Formats: sequence, C-alpha cells, structure tokens
Amino acid sequence: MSESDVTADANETRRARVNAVVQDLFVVATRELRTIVRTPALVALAVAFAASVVGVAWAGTGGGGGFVPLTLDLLTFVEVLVPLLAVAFGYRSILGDRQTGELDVLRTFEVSRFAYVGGVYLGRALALVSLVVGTLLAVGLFVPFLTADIPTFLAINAAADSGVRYVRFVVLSAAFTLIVLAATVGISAATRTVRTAFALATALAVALVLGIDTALVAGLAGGALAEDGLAFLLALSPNSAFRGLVLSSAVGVVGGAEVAAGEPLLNGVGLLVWWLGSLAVAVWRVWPAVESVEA
Amino acid sequence: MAILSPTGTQWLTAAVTLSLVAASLSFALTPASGESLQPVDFADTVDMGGTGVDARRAEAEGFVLPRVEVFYSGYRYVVGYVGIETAVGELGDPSAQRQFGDPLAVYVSDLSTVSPTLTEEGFVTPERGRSVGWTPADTAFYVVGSEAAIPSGPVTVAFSERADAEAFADAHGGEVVDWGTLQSRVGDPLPARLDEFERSVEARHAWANDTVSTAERLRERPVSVVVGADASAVPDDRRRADGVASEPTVADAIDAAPPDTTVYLPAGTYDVDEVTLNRSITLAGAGPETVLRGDGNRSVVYVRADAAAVSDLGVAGVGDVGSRGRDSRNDTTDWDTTVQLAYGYGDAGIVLDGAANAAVSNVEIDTPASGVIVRESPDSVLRGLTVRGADTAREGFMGVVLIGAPSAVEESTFVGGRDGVYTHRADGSVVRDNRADPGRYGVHEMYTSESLVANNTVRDGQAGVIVMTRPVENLIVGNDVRGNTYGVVPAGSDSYYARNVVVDNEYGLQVAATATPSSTTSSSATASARAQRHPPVELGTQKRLRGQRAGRRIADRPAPDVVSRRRRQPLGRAADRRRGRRRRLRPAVPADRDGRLADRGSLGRDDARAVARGRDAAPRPGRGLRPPTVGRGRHRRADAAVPLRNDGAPREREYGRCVGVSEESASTASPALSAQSLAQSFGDVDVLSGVSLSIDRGEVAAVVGPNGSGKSTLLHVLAGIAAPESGSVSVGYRRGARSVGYLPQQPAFRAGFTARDTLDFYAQLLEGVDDGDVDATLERVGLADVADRNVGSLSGGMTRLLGLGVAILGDPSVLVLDEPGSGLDPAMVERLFGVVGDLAADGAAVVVASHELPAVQAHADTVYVLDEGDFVATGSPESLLAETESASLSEAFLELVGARAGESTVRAGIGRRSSESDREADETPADGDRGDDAAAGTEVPADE
Repeated sequence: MSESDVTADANETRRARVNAVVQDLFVVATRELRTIVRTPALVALAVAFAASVVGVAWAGTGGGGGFVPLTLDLLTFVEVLVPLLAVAFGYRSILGDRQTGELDVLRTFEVSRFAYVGGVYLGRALALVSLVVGTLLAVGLFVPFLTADIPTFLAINAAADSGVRYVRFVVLSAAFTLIVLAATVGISAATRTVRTAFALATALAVALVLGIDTALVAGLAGGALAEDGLAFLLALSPNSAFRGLVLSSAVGVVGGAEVAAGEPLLNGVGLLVWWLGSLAVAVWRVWPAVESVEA
Repeated sequence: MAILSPTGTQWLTAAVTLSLVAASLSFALTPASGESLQPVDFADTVDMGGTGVDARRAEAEGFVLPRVEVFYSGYRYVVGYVGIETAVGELGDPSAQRQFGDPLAVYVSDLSTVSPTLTEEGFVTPERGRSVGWTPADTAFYVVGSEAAIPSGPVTVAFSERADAEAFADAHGGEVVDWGTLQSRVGDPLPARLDEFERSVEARHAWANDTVSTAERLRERPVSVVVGADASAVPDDRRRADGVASEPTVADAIDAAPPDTTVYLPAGTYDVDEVTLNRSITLAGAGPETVLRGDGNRSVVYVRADAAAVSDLGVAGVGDVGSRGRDSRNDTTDWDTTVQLAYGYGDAGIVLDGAANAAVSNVEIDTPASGVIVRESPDSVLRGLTVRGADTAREGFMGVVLIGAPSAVEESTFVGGRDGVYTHRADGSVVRDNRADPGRYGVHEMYTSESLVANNTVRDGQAGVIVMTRPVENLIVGNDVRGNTYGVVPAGSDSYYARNVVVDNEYGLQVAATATPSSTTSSSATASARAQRHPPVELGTQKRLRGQRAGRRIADRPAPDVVSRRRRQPLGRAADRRRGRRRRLRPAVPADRDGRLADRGSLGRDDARAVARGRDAAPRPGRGLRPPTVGRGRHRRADAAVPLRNDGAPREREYGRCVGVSEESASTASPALSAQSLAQSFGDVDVLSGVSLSIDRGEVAAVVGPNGSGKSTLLHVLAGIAAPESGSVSVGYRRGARSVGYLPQQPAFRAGFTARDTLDFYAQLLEGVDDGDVDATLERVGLADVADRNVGSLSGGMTRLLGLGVAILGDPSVLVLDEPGSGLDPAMVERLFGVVGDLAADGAAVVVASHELPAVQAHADTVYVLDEGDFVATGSPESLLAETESASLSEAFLELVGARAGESTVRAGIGRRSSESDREADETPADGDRGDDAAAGTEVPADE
C-alpha cells in the first residue's frame, strides 16, 4: 500500500467517524425534541411565553408604536424570560439521563461526547430558538398592522424605525437564547444531583437577570469598580452584553442620550466565550474519557 | 411524527440555521436605502441650528439660508440644519453619531435651482418666485470663503452643478470644493470653541472693567450743591467745586448743579415725589444714612441723562406696582413692546431711561416692586446695590431689570422679590459677583444674547440662573448656585456653561432646552440630596433638541418614553479483618490444587479452553474452581487451571442448546472479555483491589458478592463506562454493531416514550440495526405485546426487560448486566435468565452481577465471588459446591464470604437485609449471625 493510500484510508476513516458523530448527534437531538414535545410542562411554558410576548406587544406601546418601541418593550422581557425558559428547558437535559442510568447505557452505544452533548444541545436549542424567534417574529407583524398614522407636524424618517432593526433584535435574541441554554446544559452536564442542578441553574438565572447587573451598579456606585473598564464589565454578563448589542445595533439611539451599551465587539466576544465555554464544560464534564475497551 | 426523526431534525436544523443566517444579513443592511429617503419640507424637520434672527430676517427679507437635511439611521425625524458648516461639523462629530446613528442621506440647499445674487450684506437672494431645491450633499459643489453671508456670518453655499459653483465663485469670490474636501476642513470644533468661549469671557470681563472704571469716575465729581445744609456738611474726602451752593430740596439742587458735578445729600431722610436726573450729574449721599423717600406710588429716582449717576444713598417709598404693562398692552400687538411695557414700566427705586454710561452705585433700595429698571441705557453700571424686595415672589418684582442695552451689574445683593436680575434684550450685559436670595430666579435672561453671567451666588430660589427663549453666545461661568429648585437652566445656542457650582438643588442642571450646540463644561453638579460639594463633573458637549413649534417637542419621539420606564459508601473494613478472612479462606482453595498458580503479571488466559471452544464446536470449558489470591494484585488465574469437563463433550446448558461461536472476526484464541489487574479506590477505600478475569464467548459469568463488595464498580469498568485507576479491559472480538451491552441496576427511561420509541432511539445509534431488529428484540425480551405502551406504565419487571432489550440491541460481543433479576418475581427472574442464556448461546459473553443465587447456580458457567474488591473464589457452580461442600450456591456463598453474607443481600431464602444495614453489617464481626436476617425483606438494595 502506498503512502497516499494510507493517507486516503486515514481520511476515509476520519470521514466515517465524523459522519457517525453527526448521525448520532441528530439521533440524540431528535430524542430531545420528542422529549420536549411530550413534556406537558415544557409545552405549557412555551405557550405561556408566547402568550406573554404577544400580551406585551399588544398591550404596550410597542406593537402600535413601531419596531424600535416594540424592541424596547420586549428587551427586558426577553432578558428575564429567556434565561428562565432556558433553565426550564435545559437544567435536567443531561442530568435526567444520568439519573435514569441511560447515560451509562448510551455510552455502551459508543456515542461520542460531542455527539451526545451536541445532540442534547441541538435538540433543546431547536425547540427553544424556534419558540423565541417564532414568537418574536410573529409579534413583529403587529407593527405594520397596529401602528396608526401618528399625527405629527414633523416629517418621519422612514429609516429610523425599520423592520430591519427588529430583525436584528430577533437574531440577537436567538443568540442570547443559545448562549443561556448552553450555560444551562453545561450545568446539567456538570452536576450529579437534581438539587445541585436546580440550585445552580436558579443561581445562574438570578445572576443573569439581576445579580451581575446589580453587582456592577453597586460596584460602580461604591467605587469598587472603575468606570473606565465598564465596557469590559458589561461584556462579562450575557444579559448586559446582549442588551448592549440590542441597544447599539437594533435600537441605535435612546432618547437622544448616549447609552452605556458597552463596546459591541467586546459584547460579541463576551457572548461567544460564554457559549463556547459552557459547551466545552458540558462536553468535558458529561462523562470521563475512557479509553476504548476494544482490543 | 415524521418531523421527529433524525432526518426531520436535520431539515429543521437546516431551516432554522438558514433563517438565522438570512436574518443576520440585517446587520449588513442599512435600515433603509438612501435613495428612498427624499427631501422633505424644511419646516417639517427638527431644526438643529440657526438663530431666530436669521430665520426671521430671511423670511422677512426673502434671502436664502443654506440648509441641510440629514436622515439619521437612529432618529425618527428628519434633522434640519441652517448653515452647511454647522451640518458638516455635526456630521463629523462622533457624539452626533452616537446620538442619532449613521447619516443615511444628506441633502443641501441647491443654488443651481436659482440664479443667486447677493445683496450688499452678502445675503443670497434667488430669482423672484423661484424656490431653492435640494441636492444630495455628496455630489454637490461648494463655494467656501465667498462674500455670501447670512446675518450671523459668512456661509458656504452649495450647487448641484459645478459650472454654477464656479460662476458664483468668479462673481463673489471663494473656492469651489467637493463634499469630501469640505468635510476634511471642518475638524472637531470643540476645543477651538472652548478657547474662543474663554476668550469671550475675558473680553466681556474687560468690557465690564472698563465700563465700571468709567462709571466710578462719576462718583468723584466735585460737589457743587449740598441739599439742606451748607458746604461744611460735605465730608472732607469729597472734592468740592469752586463755590459750593446750598439748596433746600433735592429737585432745586439738581436744577442748580452745573454739569459734571455732584449734588450731595447729607445723612437724613428726604421725602420726594419723584427725582429726575436729566443732566450729567451725580446724586450722592453719605451712605445708607441718606435716604430718598418717595411717596409710595411711583418710582423714586429717574435717571434720564447720559453719564448721570446715583451713589451712596438709600431709596425707600417706592410704589408697589411691579408691572404697568397690562394697562397699555391693548395698545399694541408688538410682543417686544408688550414685554417692555410689562417689565420696564413698573415702579422702581431708580429708573435709568436712555441714560448711556449712567451709574448707580452703593445704593440700598427697599422696594415692594423693582429695585432698578434700566431701559435702553447702554454701558450703564449698577454696582454695590442692595435691593430688599417684597417677601414673596408674587408680591414683589425684579431686583434689577435690564432692557434693550448692555449694562454691567456687579457686587450687588438681591434679597426677596421675584428675580434678582432680569434681562430683556439686554444683549452684551455682564452680571457678575452678585448675590441673590430671590423669591424666584437669581438671574433670569430673556431674549438676551452675548451676555456674561459670572461668579454670582444664588441661594434658595426657584432657579439659580435661568436662560430662556433662544439666545446665542451667552456665557454662564463660575456661578455658585445652591438650594434652588433648579440650579442652572440653559437655553439657546453657541453658549458656554462652565465652572458653575451647582449643589443642593432639586434639579442641578435641567437638560431639556435648546437647539444647536452649546458647550457645558466642568460645571459641578450633584443631586440635591447630597450635602457635600462634589468634584467637577465633565459634562462634555451637551446636545439638546427642541422643536420650534408647539407640538414639535422631542418628547413625542418614541424612545424616551420607553427608556424612562426605564462520599462514597464507606467500605471501612479493617484491613486486618480482610486479611484474617482471607487466611481463613485460603485453605478452602488450595493454591497447589492445580499446582499452577499464574505468574504475576501474566494474562490469565485459558489456552486449553480457548482451543477447546473453537468454531468447530469443541468441548465447552469445564467448570473448575479457580484459586483466589491473597492481597491486591496478586490474584492471577492459573493457566489451564480450569479443567475441561471430564467427558470432554460439548457442554449443554440446562436450557439445552449447543453453543458454538461462529463467524467472528477476532482470533478464536482470545477471550471475549478480559480484564487485568483492575484497581479502583474511592478515597482511601479500595473498591477493586487488582482483580482480573477472562470470559469467553458463550460464557455466562456471574459476579456474586455481598453489598458493597465492588460488583457494580467492576461492572462499570467492564462495560467501559468507568475508567479503572489501574489495569485494563479488552474486548477480544466483535460480532455485532457494538462491543458491549449494558443493563444498569435500575434502568429507567424517558417518560413520554413508548417501549418501541425507546428501542428505536437506541437502534438509530447503531449502524445496520433497523426496525426489524427492534421488533425482534421486543419479541425476544417478551415485550412485543406492550411495545406501544408508555415506559412509565411498564411494571418493574417489564422495565428491566426493556433495559435488557436495549442492552442486547446490536448484538454486542459482551453483555454486562447489573442485577437483572433484582426486585422481580421468581418467574420473571427465570425468564430473564432464560434470555441471558439464549444470548450466550448466540455467542455473547455475559457478565451478570446477581444476588439470585439459585438462578446463578442454574445458568452461570462461571461464578466469581467478589468480596471487598477482590475475588475470593472463582469457578463453576459445581466446583464451588464441591469445594465448600455445600448443597446450594447460597450455602457455598455463605461459606465463602462468611457470616457477613447473612447480613447482606442474599436472595432465594438464604438471607438478605436492607441497604441501610449495610454499613452496620460492615462493622459486624465475621462470625456474626446469619440466620437472623434470613427471612427479611423482599427488595434488593443497590449494590453500591
């Protein structure tokens, strides 16, 4: 066998292995989707989320006031509800399999850690992202239907309240959803008991929604944190990074005042680190690497 | 649910991903293309520049103001600028972009649409009847430095056609440049502007200094007339004229005094109706002791001559009418006149009326209305005044009213009344170093531009310094404003607010005011709740917006509305106890039985047996007793320690099938599963102490042992789901889609799935396993009838069978089953072991941990007795029975692991106990009771 044949063989093997991982990943993802569809509590949560978003868009100034007002109406709402949804959708995802013993069984099916964690994440993410994106896009349709002609002496700048801005908000919301879900799946993979997982997931949600921001405000007010580094600090929390990106790219300007939206690039990097870090933790912690048992 | 298949998931993933990628293109798009943004009527824009004067005059006189319209990406309305330079400066200012977003479209007034001519003043006038159009800024041509101007200064003009621009430049001077060049010439205007402002501050102070020193000279005029006394009443420090006259009344004295002299009033109170200075003289007293007392119905002193002065006296008896404007307001509709009448014709202590260079100094005034009213008296000076007004703002009026001309007001004190200093069109006035404790405002500027309000102290009013209307170029610097409802309220444009101390006010700096940029720097501001002075806060350049008309306030923008609501099971057995029991056991399994204990480190492989179990259905391995080891890592099974069955014939299982291993890929010489020197510890407790085993195809090996003996840990390691600390496991061949199948101790499955769904899922993870295999598996484990039942509704036994089904999917080479029969009724146990036997008959190597010793005795080929992490005995059930001289495996078990087994979970009538007692059992002496627990409980606890 020539050298190139050896290389070709090795490539073939690698390709086959990658294919197997991808296949397994989708099998696992499908199981997660089925689980969600067949878990009434999650379906109820999804319906409640959708109804709440519709309610906010309908009742607030947003739906009838334009895309930017709608974005601002929904921003805080998404910031609070998406972490809660992600916790509900994710915190038992891997832990459940660990507790039933299915995780051990799965491993005898020679499923790689990437395929398993990736599949769990993909399945849950598909459901959650579809829910968030679908709901947000649906309420976005309110704007053209509900916005009345505003009587004004001023000429309206058609560019300032464009649907394009709202789509950016939806994309950022999807990214935020993916990141918070990754963190929850990371917790689910790293913990061994429901109590720990629940405590950690709750702590995560509270930290995201309240804790980190409050700490930043307290730190700045108390002088413990320097104002110079605010952009970095804002990028540390997924929530403030997400908020900063929405304000800088989807809202653009608020009230003619400058907004402490941080640095878009830093915010993006912060979110990326959370995402990859969480998934890496999940892959690392889901089960210990065991050498192949085959001779 | 077709979509809930791996393929469906792939499509869904692709769809969601594509949607998100497509939606992400929104970041690359500008919210609306510039082409769709067409110029609008300038009156409908949010006006960001230009003075009211320019706008009014342009409208009245019909000249052109070069204008710019900008569509920002982040601002709901169109922004209009007067003056191309203003717009360019703003477009180049990063803070404007942060505020409004990116400029998407910029239009400028296009003079190519008219044929421009210039007036004498340089104003651009279009042809009669033609209106100026718009052209995109980036394609226009600009004439800079020409004679073209608007009232506030020279301007750049734009043309859509280069020829027109060049023609204009030829006719009126200037240079033709393009948009890029124009932008490059307008840098960051702020630092230069700040310098300019500071120079203006100095210049206005200088003007005030000059004006004041001129006025001070008026106090030094020689005394020519003394009222009510002779010349001796004149203090020595006053100069006297040649021949000092004496007059009985103030009016007489004024009449008698020659120009440029002083009428002196010695201390005393002078009742007067109305004193009028209509010549350039000075009316001076001895200080506050000299009081001019009016009749209480009107103003007391009128100064109507240039360079006239009043000094060093007190004024009282002032009328109480603050404003007389209302009486004559009907006579005119001119707003300016109206205001002048309203504010300029009330009662006052002293009125300066058309008295240029006049001065009032060191005068104390008690007044229910105004202190001093200055009308059209340029360069007048009010200095060292003390004005005590009414108790309330409502009753009183202004300390000083300046109307229509620049005056200097300094070093004066205003107490009570309405406003300290009120200005109306008093452009160029300087108000400095005063102190006010006003009823309403400290310094109140209306329609007053180019003023300087410096170093004033205001306490406890409604506002400290308040600027209204839309003035330009006011300088508000160095004021100390505390305890007011509002500290500083700016307005207008091109103005400078700096170095003000704004402390303890309810609202420090109200930012809701004006158009076009003003600079507000280094003013100290803090919330009123804070007691201490804070270091200066750099507020930077503030941009404020306000629409020009009612209904055009920025408040109707959407954004502000929204924003404002803005351990481990202790296996603590003493080592000596372990050693003691081993010592006891050792004689039971003589090491020299076969005379062939394995060498340390060699693989315990039974070559003879391997050969015997070749594919030609050679005789099955016999059952023999294998020697245990002493101490960790010492046990090695002896080669050929297990003799073949005596008859050498293929061994038949009780359920009767001849076993042959066929068509397997691996060498028939290697065992299906071999483990070497497996060691595992948790903390300082050894769970596995270097155990080794080897299991062949078709062999059913049972691992038995008391609770906590390490069975589950061993099985985890054998199944490849836990890594041993040392040692290795190898699977010697592969017959199906995977190596190892595993049944956990208490299998459970995802709720909401049926038995078939569950198997389907696992089948999909294996290559070459299809629905048919799933059906076959269901059939094999006896779940075909309940295949479509939810796993939640399956009994414990059925769930175990489903777990077995999952374990055997894909025909694994090795099956590792952890307590498959625990918790099941005897029939179910038998059925389960029956399936296990079938699987072995099919060629799988089966390792089963179990407490069901009768079933083990019936179905297992080899029994490994594990205790405290090590095999204490190994062999066929028969050999174990023979060795221990027991009637059943249960008895043999008890014999081998001692009385502790009785405290453990031993099934089938031998004895068992709950796991809670395990720890207790661990502490029980080796010779403890066995019979007490014999009948206890029905449930098998977890092993580990």
